[in-house]
Amino acid sequence: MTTLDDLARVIRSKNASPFLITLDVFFERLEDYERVKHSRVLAAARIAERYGLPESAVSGPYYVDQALGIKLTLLRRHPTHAHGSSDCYGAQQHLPLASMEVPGG
Amino acid sequence: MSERRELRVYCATPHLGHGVDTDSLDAALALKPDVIVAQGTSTDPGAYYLGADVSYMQALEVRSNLEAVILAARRARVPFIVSTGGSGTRAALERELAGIDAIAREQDVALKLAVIHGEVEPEWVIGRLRAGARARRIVDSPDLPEELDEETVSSATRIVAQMGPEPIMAALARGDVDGVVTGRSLDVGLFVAVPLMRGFPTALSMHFATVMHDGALAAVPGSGADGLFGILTESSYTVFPTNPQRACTPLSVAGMSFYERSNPFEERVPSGVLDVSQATYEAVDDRTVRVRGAAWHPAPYTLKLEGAKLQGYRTICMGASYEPRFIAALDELLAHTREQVARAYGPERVGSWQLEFRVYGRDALRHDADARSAPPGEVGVLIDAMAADQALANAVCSVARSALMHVGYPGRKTTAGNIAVPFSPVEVEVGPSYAYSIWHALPVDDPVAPFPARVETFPRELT
Repeated sequence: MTTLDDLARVIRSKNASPFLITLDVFFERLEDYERVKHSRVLAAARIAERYGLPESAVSGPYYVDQALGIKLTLLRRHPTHAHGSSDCYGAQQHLPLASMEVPGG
Repeated sequence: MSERRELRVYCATPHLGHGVDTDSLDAALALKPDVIVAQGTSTDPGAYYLGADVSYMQALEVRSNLEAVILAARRARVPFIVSTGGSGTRAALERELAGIDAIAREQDVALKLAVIHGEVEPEWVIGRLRAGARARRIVDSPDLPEELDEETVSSATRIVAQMGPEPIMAALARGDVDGVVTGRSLDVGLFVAVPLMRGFPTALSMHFATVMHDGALAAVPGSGADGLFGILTESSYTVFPTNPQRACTPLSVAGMSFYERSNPFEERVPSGVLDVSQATYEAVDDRTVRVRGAAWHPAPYTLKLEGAKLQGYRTICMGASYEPRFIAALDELLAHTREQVARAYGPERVGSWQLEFRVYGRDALRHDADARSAPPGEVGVLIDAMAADQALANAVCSVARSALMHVGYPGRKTTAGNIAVPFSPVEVEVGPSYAYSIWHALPVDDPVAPFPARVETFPRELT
């Protein structure tokens, strides 16, 4: 089984405002980027399911060939300041993404 | 158009206070920059800093970085442009100006600066709304009103606006200032002001500014405390770090369209949208990248307003356990704890307090199906009480801590206490808590008028 973590050079999350979390995936090798891009494993519906969000809360995936990078942006369940929110910078929201299985290879 | 016409910009640091590498700065001065720029405002650390009007950066670090920028600009005989003061409030900028005064006095440099505040008065915003302006929320979050209303404005503790490049351009156009110091500002605006004044193409200038403003984060290895040199021409721009230990690569520069942005193809600024989907990134040598190809779509001018409102007072306690039976029963025990607090402080005070738990080591960060796939060996329970006043928050936290400490559960043998609390005070007053209640785009006719510049000389006259 191959996961996104096995293929990507960078898998990170960060605030893109107090209301959004953005997920970035970068690859070292063009073939790994192309494999993930064409697998459609990062389709919005699958990401929504993975993060327990409605599909309408997911923007992307955006495939940026020039950067060998893929971006998805999530409307946070709660903004950073919400009582009970646990990630002010949004910097540790990558794991549900990193552990996704990538078919093919 | 002559390809020889160029503009040289040095970004001294991705954020004032995170560090200025003085070797990189010296190397940049040898390349004769036309302007030195650095940003120092952000919303990333959260609404508290805007609401409580305190800096999220250490004053000494900001001051030493400002000093490096000011002295470098002085040596190069070029202007500098900085935003400073964290959340960018009026008081925060005034505190930084006191620091600049001290720098000018200690370093014996005379400075004539344009000072532009980014805090706006609620009356001004209300006036705009009454004149018919409709300010839509920038993010479709259910936590924000779709359109800004007077009540939301009035209930905000403080409001800042991200000024665009125009007030900075107006200040520089005076021709007699050594630098511009702003409060809350569009980061891109600081970097695009001089390119636009000199008549470089808007699309190229905006893209140049979006890459430049995060300094050496556009290089490999990236750094949050080092600079970036950029050379803008009529048809393209090049960027490279002056630190020989770093390099810009096509991937590192293209990757900047991702950083803290929701959409890697579009950059929204007050006067329009930058489209970088067709941009190209080409290696000039092993540490310099040439960029071209962005497009620009002008739009009616809007100012981004950021407002914070008080949402309560907070008291916390952290308790930990490695007892397997306690951890197994934890959900029920937390429910019991909540009931105990409700018994003590409800129902007559219902609604005036809230209690949240986060179980570190288990699912404080994860909410997906896999989060609880294996029992954790050790957990930390954050007891997080919020209430309408500090005394009630303290009381709620105290009752919750006591209840969780002493609650019974099946097979309990640790009858003297369930949780390890790391230190005294056991419960910690966190103080006021703020929420972003305004995150709206306000249409304005004149992008300069809300941000009048004051020209001031430093060191200030002693009174």
